[in-house]
Amino acid sequence: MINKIVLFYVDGFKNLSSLGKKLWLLIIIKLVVIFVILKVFFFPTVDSVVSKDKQVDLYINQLTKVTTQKIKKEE
Amino acid sequence: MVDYNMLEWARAQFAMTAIFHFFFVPFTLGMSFMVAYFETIYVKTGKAEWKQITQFWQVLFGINFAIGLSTGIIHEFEFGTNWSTYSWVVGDLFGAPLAVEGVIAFFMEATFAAIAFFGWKRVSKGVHLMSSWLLAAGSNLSALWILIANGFMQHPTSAFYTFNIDTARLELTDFLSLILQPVAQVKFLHVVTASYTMAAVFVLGVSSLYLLRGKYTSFAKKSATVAAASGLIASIAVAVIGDDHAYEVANTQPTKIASLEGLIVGEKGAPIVAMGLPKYMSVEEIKNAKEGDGFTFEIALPHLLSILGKREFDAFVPGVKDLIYGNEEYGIWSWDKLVAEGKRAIDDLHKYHAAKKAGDEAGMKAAEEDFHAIVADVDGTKVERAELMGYGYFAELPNNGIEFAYPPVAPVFFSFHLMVALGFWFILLFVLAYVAVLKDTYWDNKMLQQAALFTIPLPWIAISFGWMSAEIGRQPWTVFGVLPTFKSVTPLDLVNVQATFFMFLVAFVVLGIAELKMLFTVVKNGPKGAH
Repeated sequence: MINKIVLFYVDGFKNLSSLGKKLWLLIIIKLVVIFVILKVFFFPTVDSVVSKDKQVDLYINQLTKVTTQKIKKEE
Repeated sequence: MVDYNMLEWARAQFAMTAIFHFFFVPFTLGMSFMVAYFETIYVKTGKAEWKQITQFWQVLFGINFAIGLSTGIIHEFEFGTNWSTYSWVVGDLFGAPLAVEGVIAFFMEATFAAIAFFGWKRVSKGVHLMSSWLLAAGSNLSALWILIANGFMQHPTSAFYTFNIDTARLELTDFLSLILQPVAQVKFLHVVTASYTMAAVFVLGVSSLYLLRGKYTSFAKKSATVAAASGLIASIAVAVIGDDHAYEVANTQPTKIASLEGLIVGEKGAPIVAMGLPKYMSVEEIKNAKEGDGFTFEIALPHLLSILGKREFDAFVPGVKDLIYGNEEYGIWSWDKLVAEGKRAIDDLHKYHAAKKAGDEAGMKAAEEDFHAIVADVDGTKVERAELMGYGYFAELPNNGIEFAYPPVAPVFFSFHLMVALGFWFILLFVLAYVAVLKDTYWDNKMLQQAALFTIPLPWIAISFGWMSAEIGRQPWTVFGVLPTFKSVTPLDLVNVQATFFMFLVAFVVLGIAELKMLFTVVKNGPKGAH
């Protein structure tokens, strides 16, 4: 069964039209940009830097602190 | 302190990502079903021409599916980086439907897309047809889960969540209530029927192009016939469900419906403004406004807003003035009163954690009781003070931030009215097209064919306007009444958001051009060039 499924995909990719190949190339480039470049360099995971307890303190502080805000309404 | 520029750049980035992502989504939702209809006809008739028709539209669907794939993932990153306070407070609740979408719907799409695209010569006709329908169902199910999450942001209720005072997070208490919330259900139906309308407009428009050029006539006639019939049903359904959607909005987000209709002062038998130019009014001007103020000129249809929003000819619909300054006669609290209760809830939260650190159990208990105290009864639904905490943050702004208590009227009014106008145009187009198809005159009616061709981009514009009115109309909140937008944002350095904004902009422009180029090439080559 698994063999059949694998062959189905292999066969499908082997017989891709030129448009299909272009689309797959585009998908791969896009995923590399999103998951390698953006994720690693622009959206790093910070959970490992701040412990769970400190995260709670950080957000409680953020949510109970009333500060002066400077925001402007669009119209 | 939140940097104003940071807030606006984060909003702009999210809006850009959402609008770009939603260029692909409705086309996928609609075309997946359109392809399944065509294939059903092919399997029933066994005629090779219907197979060719199915495969042609499937290629166009496939281009959109592939290019749109994973553009939504950028949103997930943005929730974590730009909207970390939002993610902290509502992540447990908001994440649940998103996770279900990923696990069930997305895997369904991935599995059946492979069979639909690779399986033409490898599986039986029946299995292939079933895969096409399941692919359509999977993509539409994805939309359901996303709109359940969005429905929560529009109208969070204690029916399905509770506020955990220890972690300052909302926790899901009733998954079924979350799924069945009327706001989300009606929003889902509105979005999917709009998507079916978009697909029908596209198929009718491209078929009309071939008819105008005298090419692939038999193919175009068959495609246009299916598109005219399905488009007529879908476009009428959008309007009928849109009416229900407006009813839900009127009863759950009164500031949004008041802004959508530019209703400054509430009235009985409130009108719908069919056309008009709302004038900018400061909060002071609103305070002194009288019934009928708010427009430089308008063509109003009396009583229709009362019927739409309350299902009663003479029902009172509150305007912006009633909602920010209060209206005792109708039991509407003023903004200042809501802010005062919210501020007290914030103080309770602060006292609870201060007592917790000091090991003062009595202090904790007192703060928690006050935090969860019932402060109002809205039509039998008890409202806890904790549910009003979001209003308390506006105490940070001058004058309790009263100018932010309602969304900006002009952008919401115009985007909503343009969406509605386009929706009526689609109904008219499909009525004319369907009648012409039945009378066998569509094929020679160049004017109608040209109208269908030039209508192709309009559903994308209408849907974007729809989302703009829904999301700008929710302001000043990310989660209505629970968390203000300015409190949801991450206090990041501005340069991070600006840099990624422009990176996304470049990536989206490149992807958009690639998609359009491929779509144009396939349409130009015609059905014989597909597959």
